[in-house]
Amino acid sequence: MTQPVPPRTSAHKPYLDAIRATLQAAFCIENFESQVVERHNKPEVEVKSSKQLLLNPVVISRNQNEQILIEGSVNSVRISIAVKQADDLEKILCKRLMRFMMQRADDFHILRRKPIPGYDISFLITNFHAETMYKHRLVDFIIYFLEEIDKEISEMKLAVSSRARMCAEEFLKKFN
Amino acid sequence: MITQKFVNKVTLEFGRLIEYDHLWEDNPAIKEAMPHLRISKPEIKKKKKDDDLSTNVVEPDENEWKRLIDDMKYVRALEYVLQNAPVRAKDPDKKKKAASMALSTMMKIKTSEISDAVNSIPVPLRDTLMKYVYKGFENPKDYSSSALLTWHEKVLAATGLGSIVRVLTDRRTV
Repeated sequence: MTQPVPPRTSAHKPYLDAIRATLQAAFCIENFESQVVERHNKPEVEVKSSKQLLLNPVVISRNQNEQILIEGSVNSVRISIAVKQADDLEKILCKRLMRFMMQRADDFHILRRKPIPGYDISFLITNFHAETMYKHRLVDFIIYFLEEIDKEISEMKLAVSSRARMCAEEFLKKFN
Repeated sequence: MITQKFVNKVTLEFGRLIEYDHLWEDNPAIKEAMPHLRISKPEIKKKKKDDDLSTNVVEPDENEWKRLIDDMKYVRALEYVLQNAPVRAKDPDKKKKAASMALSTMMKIKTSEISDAVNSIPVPLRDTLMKYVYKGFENPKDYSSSALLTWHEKVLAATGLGSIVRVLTDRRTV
């Protein structure tokens, strides 16, 4: 096992624990070929070809702004995250960051190119991903992602304001 | 060349068609042909009473629930709502009403008393309780998510991952 994910204790532990438990329950996925088209294998949570193949979608929320939607099916799980965006600057930063990642979704493997409406970013994990990657590590990754996103956005916000301050200082020096 | 075998096979298929597709019975040509075909009149299988959801719907009575709430018997009230949860109902209003009853009761129970409450609720009802916890998450405006997260934790400790799996897979949604 390479690089263990560093465990973090934060104020949001109950939220992350609830998500971890739900993901562990939803991650029972196996290969299931399309019953509609022969020789095709599609993630049922996207195609929704039959109601029998889908699990009930479940929401877990920390507060009004932060939510995570977990939709399961027989061969795939879709996880949509609504990130906390407190003010306009955070909204812009979040949008930029998510777009950056989603444009590189091919290399990311488990990322979806478009988020589900109402959420900021979506993951689509199929049985093929679960076969090549450990399921418990995938769950760990999602939790880690949730923790890191908030940190990154606040870091970027600080960076933006410090850069703005430095620029303003330099500019106003001319008028001194 | 139409052999007897073919005729038999077609008759069989046709009979099956008439049996399952009730619209065929009103067709006058079919009615005329029936005595000539070697198939007996298909028996219309009546829908089993178990599928008739209207007989199976229970609903928590609001007055009874209010009475228990006024008596401050919150755990007993929650148990009452869970016992009579409209899981088999198709009417979304019924479900919404019961959900609001269950969730407001859960909000009233103090954080320190939650684990006792969960332990006192009988085991078969704990799945329904988990269903209501997830229902509450969908409405973070009305129901405190932090309290719900505590509920989630305590119910999980009492029931294990199985209850979450049952929430995801059970068709009798709350």
